[in-house]
Amino acid sequence: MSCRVWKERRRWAGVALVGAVVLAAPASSANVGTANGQWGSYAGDKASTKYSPLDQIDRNNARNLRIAWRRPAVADELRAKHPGLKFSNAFRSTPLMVGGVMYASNGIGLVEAFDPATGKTIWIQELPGEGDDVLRGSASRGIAYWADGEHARILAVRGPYLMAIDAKTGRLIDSFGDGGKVDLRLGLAAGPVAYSWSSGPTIVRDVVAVGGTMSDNPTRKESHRGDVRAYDVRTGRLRWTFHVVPQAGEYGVETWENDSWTYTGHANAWTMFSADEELGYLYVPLSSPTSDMYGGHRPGDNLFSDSIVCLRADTGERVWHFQTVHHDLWDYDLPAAPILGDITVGGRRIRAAIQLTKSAFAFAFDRVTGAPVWPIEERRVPASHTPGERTAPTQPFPTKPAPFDRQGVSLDDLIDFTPELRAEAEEIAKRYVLGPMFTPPSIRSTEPGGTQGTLQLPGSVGGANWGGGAFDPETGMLYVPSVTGAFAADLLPGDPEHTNLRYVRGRRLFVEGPRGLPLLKPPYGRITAIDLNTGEHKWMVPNGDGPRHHPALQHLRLPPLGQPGRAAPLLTRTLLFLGEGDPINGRTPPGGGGNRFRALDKSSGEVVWEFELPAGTTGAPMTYMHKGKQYVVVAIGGNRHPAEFVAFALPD
Amino acid sequence: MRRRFERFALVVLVALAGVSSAGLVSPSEKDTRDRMSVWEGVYTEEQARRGEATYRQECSSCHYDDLQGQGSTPPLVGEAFFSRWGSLSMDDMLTAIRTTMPQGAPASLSNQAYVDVMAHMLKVNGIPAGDVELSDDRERLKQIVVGNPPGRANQP
Repeated sequence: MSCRVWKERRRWAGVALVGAVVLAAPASSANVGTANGQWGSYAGDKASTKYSPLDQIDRNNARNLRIAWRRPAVADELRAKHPGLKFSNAFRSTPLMVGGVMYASNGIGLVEAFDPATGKTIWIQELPGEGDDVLRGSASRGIAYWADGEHARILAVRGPYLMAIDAKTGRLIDSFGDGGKVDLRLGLAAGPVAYSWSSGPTIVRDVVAVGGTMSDNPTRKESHRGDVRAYDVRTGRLRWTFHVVPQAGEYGVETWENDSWTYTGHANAWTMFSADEELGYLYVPLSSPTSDMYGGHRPGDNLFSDSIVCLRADTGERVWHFQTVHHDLWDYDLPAAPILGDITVGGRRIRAAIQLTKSAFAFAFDRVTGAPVWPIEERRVPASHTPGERTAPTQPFPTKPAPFDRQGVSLDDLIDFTPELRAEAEEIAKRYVLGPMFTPPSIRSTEPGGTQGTLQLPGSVGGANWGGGAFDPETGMLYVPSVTGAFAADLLPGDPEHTNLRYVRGRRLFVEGPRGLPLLKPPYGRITAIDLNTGEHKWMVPNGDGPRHHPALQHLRLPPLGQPGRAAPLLTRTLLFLGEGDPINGRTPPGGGGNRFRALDKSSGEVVWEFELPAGTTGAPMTYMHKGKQYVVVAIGGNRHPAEFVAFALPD
Repeated sequence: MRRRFERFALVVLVALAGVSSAGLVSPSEKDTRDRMSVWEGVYTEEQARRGEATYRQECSSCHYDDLQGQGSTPPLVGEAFFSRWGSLSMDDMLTAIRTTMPQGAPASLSNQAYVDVMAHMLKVNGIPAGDVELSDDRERLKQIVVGNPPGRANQP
């Protein structure tokens, strides 16, 4: 742990002398992390470990956990004032807890502050104007806390604005941007373009960095680049822009042949970032370029799409990068913040960055230099038959750790609970192109009996997704939830009257197996524990029951088969908490999601506590200690259940 | 940039849609004999009213009453609607909506409820009602393409 963090711990403990030393330091004092039972960033700390050393709740007493308080996604006070207010129950929000106050993005994307002991409102962010339109918004995954001496602020993105909010009052801070707001709309010179972001800002030293969400279904080959931008955390002044598609003369522009860098966009960072305050580096996970399933208009490897990029926080200069997929045809966006953790490999201490992928790899790098921790090999992959497409001949495969989920589909991967089910599964699979991972999407035939596309595994929702993983800095263990679902990657010819893309996405259905069962072998949702000091898997358990009680399987008395939902982990001294994810949170394979929330013994994966919620989890859980009591809080919501936060604690 | 879609441009000569229907058909489909476009009166006012009630119950918490959406919830009207669906049939639309919506409970409504909501979407997009309801017969829906408003020039 760095010296600065240690000092800040003391500062939060109120030791004035050490506090003065911190104030003299040039960097911001925002690196709260999980010191003193706080939860200072979306994932606990800026390293995105999702780890807190708290241990009041442990493997022996977790069975006594009960609900301590609940709080609706939008404060009662606000809903009473605006009875017609609507909001989605896909409540992605994860609160912060700093200095005895919780802060969170609410169901319409405004920041609310509340009491960690009761969930009662302290303040609600002032509405940014009049009329019904200002009530329109949705929750962000995360917000960021920053303090400069006595003055603390919350940085949040809502709609097209980055806002600085006074942490004491909920009012916009006038000296930031234009009356407390910075307009993030892209391409302002050519006229404003819609901007939104489902994740949230990362602050490193004195800059606040943002990405953005972009439509996944473009109708033109021309699009805006999802550039990464950083603003001065005090003034809101733009400090730098990183071109996610390099421009003339910039590194990597040659990976866009036929001048395709001039018009191709996307490659945006839609998920969260990580940062190392001591190095002053920002770690950004980028996504696929326009369009994500057909690359005929963008020949080449297409840097920096699907790359982890390490940037200097003060200048935005690229320190290193690694592209996890060349010339993406699979919608393999990097879905989660890189995890920054220190490991010991072969006796050598390495400051590592771990990038989890939809494709089910955990890429491990030295986060200072970008050197792979274990060799990464370029291996040959199948070529596309789509006209105009030029597949990358090779893709990077880490030699360690082994993939954490099933990759590619062959007949061997089809269910074989009974010979009849296997035979029926083979009939279904015949309609698709099968092959190893990185088999390209194929054109859906309209002829009877023609191919319905490629069975892509992992599919477009992973493998891993935004829930990411959790890392234990004390043991070097990594815990990753992931899903398995048969996804049909199909293309259709683009109609020139509606699109200038030669091929467009098809229906991209999740393919059901026989009798409503999954097509592929279980588990359908799993958690894998990986020792990052050795690169070896330690244990793997299914997450949830899955279809074990299906009439066609009941007589087999199968163990839990796992559910393919979007679960996000929380790690403490002895426990790993996670839910099953609610399908309202985003597309999941059939059978995805569930209402259970569990604590697992992190040493074995054994379930030590299980709770039936009224809906599935929609946000990543967090934990904190307040007035001597440890709480675990998670956002839930469902198609028929209004979104809310639920807090668990042990009885008094 | 794409030229801005003019929703009410040249709503004249609805019959033209029939004449030009070959140009509206998705190139992935071959048989064009029985094709028609949504501009030929493929739903009824009454059906759109039913669809609106379902929409308000099942869809509007994210897409809002005006179908404009916000943030990562896409709008269901105007250019967004026509660029998304212009190449596709009403069966493609039913499949896409049914397999993904309502968020968190896909395929939880009857096919009739889904096509009613589609009728509401057509109405809000300025597509005129007719005398016959949009049926939930998949084979029939395959024959109805969204296409462009009549009179809209081809994009370069």
